[in-house]
Amino acid sequence: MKLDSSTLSLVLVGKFSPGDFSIESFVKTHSIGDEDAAQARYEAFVRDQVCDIRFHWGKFAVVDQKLVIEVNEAPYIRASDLALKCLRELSQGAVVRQMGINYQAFFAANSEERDAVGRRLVPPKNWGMWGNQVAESLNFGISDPRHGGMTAAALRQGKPDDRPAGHIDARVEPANRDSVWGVLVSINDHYEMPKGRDGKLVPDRTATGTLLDALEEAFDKSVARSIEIARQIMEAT
Amino acid sequence: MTGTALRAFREENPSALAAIPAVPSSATVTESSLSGEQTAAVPDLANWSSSAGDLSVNMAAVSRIAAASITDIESPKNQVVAEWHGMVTELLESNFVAELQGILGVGVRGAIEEAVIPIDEVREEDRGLLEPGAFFRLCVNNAIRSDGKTRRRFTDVVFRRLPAYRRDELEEAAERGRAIARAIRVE
Repeated sequence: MKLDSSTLSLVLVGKFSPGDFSIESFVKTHSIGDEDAAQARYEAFVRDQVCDIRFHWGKFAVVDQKLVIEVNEAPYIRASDLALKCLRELSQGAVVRQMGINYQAFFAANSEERDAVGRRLVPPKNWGMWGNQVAESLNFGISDPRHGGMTAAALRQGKPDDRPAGHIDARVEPANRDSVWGVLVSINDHYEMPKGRDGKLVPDRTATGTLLDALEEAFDKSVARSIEIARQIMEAT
Repeated sequence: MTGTALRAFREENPSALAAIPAVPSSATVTESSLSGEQTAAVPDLANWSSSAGDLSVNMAAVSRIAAASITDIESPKNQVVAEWHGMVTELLESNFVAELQGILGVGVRGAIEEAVIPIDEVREEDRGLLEPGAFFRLCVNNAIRSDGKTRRRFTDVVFRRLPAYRRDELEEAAERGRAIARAIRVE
């Protein structure tokens, strides 16, 4: 199976001021270049509620509790750089409590290849008598409504050593993109600040500083790791 | 990747970007780019207001972004074959010298190189960022046709736009300023 497309999404969860962000403020702080600014367009803009900007390389969107930067072409580091620029220069009152560095890869695959992935990751025989029925149903053609199989498989790595709290999730599922069938692999590399020993949230400033430092230091490693996870999941088929 | 590979590439491609290392044609680490951008209607900002009449539209936009996830799949255009982290070390008349560290790509990741890159390869909008110490990314991409076949290979040099100040640095500076202000005696 061949990699067809991939996307990197950086998702920050906390408290944000959408009114701090605009194409104009990005230009003023040199967060984007003139060419990017000229090509940028607003998908949605309601002062203090929502700012959703589309660039030729992806998008920036923010509401009061979530900031998302999606990058669809290399280099993915654009997401990290723009987020750091936004929160360290443009909107210093922002609070970050959770962070996801999310990689998604779509592999074009025919029905036999998709079923092979399903059989390997979620063997029907491990599901008892009913699983055997599902295994038998794989013999029906893909257009036959009786054809069953894996709808999704997910695996979580509990708190990795490189963060105060969080996890890495991988999810594999059949998907269709622009009428092309395939297998979608989604990696969610999740970071968050745990509560203090007293059970209370750590101060905003501490949480934000810790997670932005983690973003700066871990971004490239996270992307490389996620690409490798996706590659190895698919390579075994 | 060694300097030998880079030298060989330069000899074979004297007019090409000297920084492109000899990326194996069988490289399997690939990325792609945005092409099939979603074409949802763009709101006419001139007609937007905070009036109650627009509330449903506003809340729809808020809800859509609040629910943003990584499930949207975009169509591909380019797939990255290799990516390098670069730092400018010297400016020449029509080139610049840079240290490169491999980030992505088979045979590239972790490799260290020094490269001479034509300034023409730098986007016009990034020229102002070109100075010793500046960071950039050099990506070797494959342009992909709609039938999935590779159309051509090309490089992209993107200079990084990093924050000038760190939050704690600003806070420390502000604290120093307050201390100085407290020490000033006006008579």
